[in-house]
Amino acid sequence: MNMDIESYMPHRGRMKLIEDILESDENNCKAIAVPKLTWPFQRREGIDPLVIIELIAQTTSAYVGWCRRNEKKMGGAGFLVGIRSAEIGLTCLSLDSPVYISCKRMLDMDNYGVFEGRVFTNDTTYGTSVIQVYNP
Amino acid sequence: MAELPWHTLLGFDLNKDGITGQFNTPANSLWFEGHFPDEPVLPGVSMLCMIEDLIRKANPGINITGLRRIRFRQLVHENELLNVKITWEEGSVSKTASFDITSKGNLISSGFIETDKPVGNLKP
Repeated sequence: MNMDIESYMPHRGRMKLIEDILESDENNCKAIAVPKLTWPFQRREGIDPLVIIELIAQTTSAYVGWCRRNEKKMGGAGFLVGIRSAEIGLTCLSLDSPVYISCKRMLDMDNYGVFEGRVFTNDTTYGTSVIQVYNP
Repeated sequence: MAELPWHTLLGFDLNKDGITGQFNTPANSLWFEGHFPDEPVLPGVSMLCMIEDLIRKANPGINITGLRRIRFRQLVHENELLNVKITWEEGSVSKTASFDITSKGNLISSGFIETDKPVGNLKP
């Protein structure tokens, strides 16, 4: 979509991991990220797949910010307050190889939301998670 | 996490029931770079990274493969000391563990992790 993603999420600099939102609609969003040497979770083999939690959280953050802007609501992205579940693969993310992040809204109740996310490429799923966010 | 100063494990204690460790969150930690510019807050995932670093003291080849019922109850700011306690659910053959993280006596986070192999033959 080539959106100004920083206007929808508070993450900056080294801790802004997602590059762009590729698609979004009422309940779904897809983002892209390119793992770099500056990322957290550096391991000898690449980026530890636990990073999928942050990728899903940031995609959700940008998506919630985008939705709120469209609804002309104040406030922006919230805080990760819980992880209901996550399945983490054993494959490290490769540096400089793009990955995609999908997130789907499962529950939206006042300031509380539940989102299901997945981090993947065409041939690999790095992990899935259901996260809970709160917008103060 | 040895190459970059994300967080520092100050010390740990390994026993038959689990492992405990202490981490600090200095203001110059890379976790705070851009998270967030106006209000530095430790990312929740950093605590998962600390947990994985800690269980690798018990078994260097172990990986976290699942997370269950994790709660992040309070924000963590710069220069806090985090006490991480991981308890094996079934002794050294366990592939599941519970954890809690406290700071100054306050519960910061809790939940359950699953691993790809047993924590191993612990030799405290």
